[in-house]
Amino acid sequence: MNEEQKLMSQEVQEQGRYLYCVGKAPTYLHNFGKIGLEGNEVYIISAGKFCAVVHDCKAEPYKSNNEQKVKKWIQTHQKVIDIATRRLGTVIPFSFDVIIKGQCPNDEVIHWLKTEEDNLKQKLDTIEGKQEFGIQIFFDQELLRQQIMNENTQIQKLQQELKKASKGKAYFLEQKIKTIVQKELEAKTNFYFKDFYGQIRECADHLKVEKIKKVNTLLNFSCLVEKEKVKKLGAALDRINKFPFSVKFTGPWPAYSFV
Amino acid sequence: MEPTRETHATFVDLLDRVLDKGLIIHADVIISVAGIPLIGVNLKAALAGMETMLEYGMMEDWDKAQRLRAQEKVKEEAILLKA
Repeated sequence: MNEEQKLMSQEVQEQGRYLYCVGKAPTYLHNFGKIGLEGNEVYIISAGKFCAVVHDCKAEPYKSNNEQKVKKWIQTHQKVIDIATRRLGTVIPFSFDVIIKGQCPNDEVIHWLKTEEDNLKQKLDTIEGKQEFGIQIFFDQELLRQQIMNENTQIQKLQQELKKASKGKAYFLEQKIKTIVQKELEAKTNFYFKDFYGQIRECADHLKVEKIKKVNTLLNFSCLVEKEKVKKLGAALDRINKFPFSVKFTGPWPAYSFV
Repeated sequence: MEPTRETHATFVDLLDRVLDKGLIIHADVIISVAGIPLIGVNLKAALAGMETMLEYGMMEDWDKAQRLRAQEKVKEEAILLKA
């Protein structure tokens, strides 16, 4: 075989193991059936204390421009983790599309599980018996601005002045009003953020402040909560979920944000 | 209040987690999505539905344009005042 042929045969020989999650190594062998991406057979590779839930794949990532296809992959990824959780207990979830590759990929998985055992134990201890929840609290900024304009006495006075002011003075008065409204809005926002943070923090074992992506979002949290405490969290959110705030409460998720 | 996860609205929350979070591995034997946009922002937005396009930074462009227009307006008014 010449160099090129050798290289080609090597590429052909490399295979992958698509990783869904890591859990405690079970006492019984587990085969989950053809529930994986593209109907692949999902099974377990164990080493030491832990096991990886996998399916066999090519040594390349799943990639597509087809929305429906990708959506299905993502939902399947999550579904497999759900089923694994039912059979193995709390698991450490992987991101979508993490693949271990090699000529003997099973060996690679085993090697990785053994090398990472302490790290995995630490992570699993943190999340054991807990679930992740997403909390977003929305508020209507425009409405709050209106409320401030109507209630603030300083602004009332300025608005009276505005009625009789010349064009030049009017502009400056309007700017002054805008500044006061902005300051008030920020003060209120800070106040409510701290208040809600406190209430939610009490009900969670761990809390992560996430980036705000949508307009009119006051806060975006990921929380790790023991199963018995979820009701308490729900009750706190019910108290918060009153005009002008609205709450979005999602989950339970595997502990993606805490690993 | 009960948490939900099976609705169209919560697919965005699943996306956030499954694409940007979860266990990270640093090793030569790993092919991983972490840091590599295998799924572009546009596809991400399309997956999450039109109404959530705003969540994925598309709002930024609109917002920038609005702010630019507001700034122009302020400049205009300043010129008018001087006149």
